[in-house]
Amino acid sequence: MVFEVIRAINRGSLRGQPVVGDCSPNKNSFSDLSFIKRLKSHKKNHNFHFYLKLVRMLDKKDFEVLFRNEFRRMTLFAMRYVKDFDTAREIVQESFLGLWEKRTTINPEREVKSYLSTSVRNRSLNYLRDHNKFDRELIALEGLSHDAATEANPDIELSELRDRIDNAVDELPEKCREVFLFNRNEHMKYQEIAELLGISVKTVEAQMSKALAHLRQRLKEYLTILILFLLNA
Amino acid sequence: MKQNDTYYTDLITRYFSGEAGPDEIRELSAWVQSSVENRRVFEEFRKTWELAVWQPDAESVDIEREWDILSSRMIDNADLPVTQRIRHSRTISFAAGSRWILRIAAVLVLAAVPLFFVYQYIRGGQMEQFVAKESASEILLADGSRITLNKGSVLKYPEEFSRDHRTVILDGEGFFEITRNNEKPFIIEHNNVRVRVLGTSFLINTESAPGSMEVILVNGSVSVYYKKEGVKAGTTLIPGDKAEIALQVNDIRITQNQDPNFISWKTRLFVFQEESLENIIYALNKAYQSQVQLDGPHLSSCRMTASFDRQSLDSILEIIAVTLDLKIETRGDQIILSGKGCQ
Repeated sequence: MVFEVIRAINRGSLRGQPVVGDCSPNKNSFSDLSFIKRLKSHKKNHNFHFYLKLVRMLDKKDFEVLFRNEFRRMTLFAMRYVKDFDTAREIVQESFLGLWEKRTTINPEREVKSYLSTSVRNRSLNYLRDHNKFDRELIALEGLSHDAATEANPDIELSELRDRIDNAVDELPEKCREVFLFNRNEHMKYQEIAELLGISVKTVEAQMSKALAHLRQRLKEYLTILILFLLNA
Repeated sequence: MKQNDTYYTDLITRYFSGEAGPDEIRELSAWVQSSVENRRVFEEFRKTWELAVWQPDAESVDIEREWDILSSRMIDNADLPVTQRIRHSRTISFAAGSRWILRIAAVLVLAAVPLFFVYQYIRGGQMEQFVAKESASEILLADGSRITLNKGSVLKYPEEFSRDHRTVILDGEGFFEITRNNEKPFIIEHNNVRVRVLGTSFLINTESAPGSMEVILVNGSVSVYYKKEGVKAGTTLIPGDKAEIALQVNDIRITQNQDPNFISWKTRLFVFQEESLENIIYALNKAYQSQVQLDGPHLSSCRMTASFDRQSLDSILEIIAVTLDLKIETRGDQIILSGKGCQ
């Protein structure tokens, strides 16, 4: 199945490398690898360090590099708040656009990345409030309420853990795994998956719960370690 | 109890997958707060979701599309459309503001050199075709994009661009200067290969080597992919990249373009650095459509450093002859360079 192949390629892919290309289940991730190398040397050759440059001096070329480097990470960060991929990417788009439009008026001492994550976070919280989805207790429980909530995604370096996760997903029964992967990888809503597979939304819901319950079971040993691990990340 | 377990697992799953509405969120919150056990369950599910779902390699972000969308909203004064620099009398109108309305009413064709030109203008179904018969020719499309075709190359383009993309078909060699339109990416087709751009300048040679084609990027960025695989599986080029794309198999190789004269046929600018006479002659013949030849193999390894800026072929050959102590002889269409050879 397609997902197997993607996982196999990604297992051999970069760790500790810049984010560009690291994150996409691109079927041709070899080209992503070389793209990163070329992008790195392109950066060297053109001699710019956009993180060090004053925000106001970013030109469109620099901005593009910044965008390509940070977009995925920021989208993941927004997703923690809004739980919906399309909403998350729109929020991140708006944040980048805001940064671009205000680049001459931003405090030059301000670091670009921190500006972006603050912007993403604020827009995400606003989204939740506007749609009546903001719950103080849940947000607090999820560790999202204080200012220090950073966009650093806890990077699961332990390959053993990665394998455990992948295996746990593999273990899911066919239909259940399909539903789960459509939701996770293709960002499809329950309704869309139901239509695609010709099943009821209730069935999709049941399969999703089944998947999550199974994953929770399989990862139980790691969950306590991780609560400590992630707190320190 | 069992029923309750399923119920709340469902609710929690709906919450994390973004399906839960305001009422459900309130309900979940109350449940989580009602006992330490519930809270622990919630935390475990969250961690599970974080590990299994919110990981970078599980997100399929189409970064090209995202950049397309953002950059179309970013207005930058440096991005003045090409048409404003063109000094011909035809007016190309566009709507005020940042949106372009594309119309292909006609195509204006300019010959690079000489001033007279011959072209074929064929209407085949919806596609029209331009063949650069006598010389390198420049085509100006109504969106302001400029394409310089090398002699013998063919460009097929539709009478009217479709609503969400601008697609043409190339056979041969062309230098593309495409105006930016983020709502309509410009796509060049050859065989099963696609080169996709927003607005940029680059060279495509579909006859660079048997069974493959070449794309060299000057400015901006393009994406090169196979029709079947789609743009997500493609390769992105950055300025200076040269992509060699196999036509029968899926094989795209990227190197740094080493040849400063790759568009000399268009620009008539040459930069030779310790270049062999053989290669120099090749570049000149390509640019001037001439048939300069060397008298014998002993000359091909002669090397020379020089640059030429839009000079006539005659004056260039004279300079070469003087530098390398050669004689120039004309025999009909051919120009023969002869001499003793180098060291």
